Amino acid sequence: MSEQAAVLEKLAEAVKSGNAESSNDLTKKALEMNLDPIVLIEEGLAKGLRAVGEAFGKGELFLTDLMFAAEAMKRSVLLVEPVLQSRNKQRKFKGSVLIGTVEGDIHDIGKSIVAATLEANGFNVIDLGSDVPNSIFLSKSEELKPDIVGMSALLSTTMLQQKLVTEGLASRGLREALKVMIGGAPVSAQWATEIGADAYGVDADDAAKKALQLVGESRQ
Amino acid sequence: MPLISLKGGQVELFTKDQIYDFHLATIKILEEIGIAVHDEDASRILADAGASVDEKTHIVKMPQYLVEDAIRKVPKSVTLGARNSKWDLELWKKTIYAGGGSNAVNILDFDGKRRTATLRDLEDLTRLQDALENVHFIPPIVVPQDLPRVGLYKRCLEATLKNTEKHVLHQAESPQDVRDQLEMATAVLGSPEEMRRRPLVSFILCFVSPLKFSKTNTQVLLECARQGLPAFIESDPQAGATAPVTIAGAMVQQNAELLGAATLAQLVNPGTPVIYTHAPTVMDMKVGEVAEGCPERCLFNAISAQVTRYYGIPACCVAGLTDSKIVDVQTGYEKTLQVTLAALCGYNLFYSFTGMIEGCLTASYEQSVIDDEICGMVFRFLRGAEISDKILTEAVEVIRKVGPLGSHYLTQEHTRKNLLAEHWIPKVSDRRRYEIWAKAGSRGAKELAQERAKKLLVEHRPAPLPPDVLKTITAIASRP
Repeated sequence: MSEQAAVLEKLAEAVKSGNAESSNDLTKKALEMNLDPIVLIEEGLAKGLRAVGEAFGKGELFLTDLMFAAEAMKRSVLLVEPVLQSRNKQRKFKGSVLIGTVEGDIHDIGKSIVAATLEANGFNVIDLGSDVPNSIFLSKSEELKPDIVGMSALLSTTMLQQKLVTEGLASRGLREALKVMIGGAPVSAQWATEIGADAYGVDADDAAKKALQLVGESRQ
Repeated sequence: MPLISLKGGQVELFTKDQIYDFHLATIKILEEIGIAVHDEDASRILADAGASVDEKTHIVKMPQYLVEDAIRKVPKSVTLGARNSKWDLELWKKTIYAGGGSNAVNILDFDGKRRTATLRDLEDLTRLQDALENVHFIPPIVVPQDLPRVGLYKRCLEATLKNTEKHVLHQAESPQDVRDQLEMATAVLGSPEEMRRRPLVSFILCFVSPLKFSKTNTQVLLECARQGLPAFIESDPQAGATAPVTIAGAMVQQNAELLGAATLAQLVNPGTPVIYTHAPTVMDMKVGEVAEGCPERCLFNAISAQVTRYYGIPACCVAGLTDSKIVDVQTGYEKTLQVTLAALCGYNLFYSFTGMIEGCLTASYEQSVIDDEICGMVFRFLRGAEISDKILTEAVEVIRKVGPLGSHYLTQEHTRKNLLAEHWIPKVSDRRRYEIWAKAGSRGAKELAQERAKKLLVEHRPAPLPPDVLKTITAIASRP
């Protein structure tokens, strides 16, 4: 195994074990070795997160493992980004997702798990957080032109916002250019059809699968 | 070191005065009514010690001082050894351990059909229960119907020893059978000293209510006492049929039977470990059958748990039985109620539990796995919740870190560090969302348990016995 391959493997391992300190150290080392930053992310960090995501989906790892791994990757990517910019390079994403929990709903966890899983599957995820006003979903969609808008609602009283945002996207002429995905405890595939969303993810793994389908990719 | 140090006995229903009154009523039975002892050796030993013996009726009446002296001589802590010392059991104070099923004659097979139990079932079920973390000791789970009756227990012990690394609670048909099985267990442990220090096999012997000591069981008890082997002295009164109909009445008769047996054992060999064991039931007067899943069992257990703690004698009850013939809802609620309350009332051991349905008649592979799950949940409760300066300080610190501005604790080190100690992780129960569950086949606990049982049967192999030990125990088991 080359030295490069060995570092990548260690990076994936560090993310898998949710050890941000170790993944940061290895990231710095890899950059010093002049390792391609895109390869560093894709073959190192993201590979580790994908492995955790899959194991979590199979019930082999805990939610905390997934969240720690996502956190480790996020922190290491922050170290890589300045290098990418200085070299005028860009990560190749499978697509971009604008994600958030809808207006009036402060539930954050489900949305964060989906965001982490989407990142692990090669998406550029822009997380708007929770209790996101409908107007922000619309203006950010207009500004960033994501491939997918993902909305989470945990309450039967807030799921209506998913419908309002979807309608808002249509009335602003944005609906054709992007896909709408919804999720959350009271939400169903039937609700997705009713409000004209493109997909419903029953859990994070399913959401990633549907998102890949929507952007015309299949899982690695 | 014992494998776990769980404590039961958080609940006491009776006052000390009530328990003392109960004791005095027991003494009255032993002094004034007596026990029919159908063994001459035993009668002579009791007579020599001061009991009165009626030669014609075989009734032995024991004076108070004799019984209370014996209670003092019973060891208050007992170690039961295992092939793998990690499974050694320390019986004292309120430690609690769960035992496997016992003595089923039928199997409810994976296809849902009930059939006769075989030697293969004994081997497989023992191996399966060896793999289950909430089974801490192993009785012979089934009585194989394809083995000859003569020498049956030795054959069962051979099969059991091969398939578990845990303590074996066994039976014997005669004093010679006790000596043979002791020899087998000693061969496995390596030396008589080790067998004395942490006996690998103990014996259970059931006395017949009301107030009778049969010849065979009495002789087996005498032999256990002579050898210093732990004896589980068991009485199984049926309230309304073989014992008074009242809960306390049935228990006071049982107490007389078991203190009588303990007295006999202490006279033969003072300091012989005896474990006070019982499986009381009510007679269901509508159907004329004993009710193994009855709620009254929880009250029988509540009384006897407190009485044995009063005496300081290690105790074992039967809990987690059901009258259901299949793996169903009745099985679930009867077993869970009994196990929960037995744990809370406090026994050192409970057994005849894992895998049993239809009273003690049928064993099920799926139910074994479900019972492990039930027990895991009950034991999680027993592990309790710590409220200490350390726990509270750490909690306040992590709450300060996340606070009203944060959204979750999932990425806190505090969460990761404490997760497995604080949260019980199910092995069978499905907690996934409807759609995920439906996609995975819409399977209930029974189907999921079947999958786990089959997996464990393929994967789990206890450490094999060395070839020379295997040869020795097979040779002893084959003796006529």
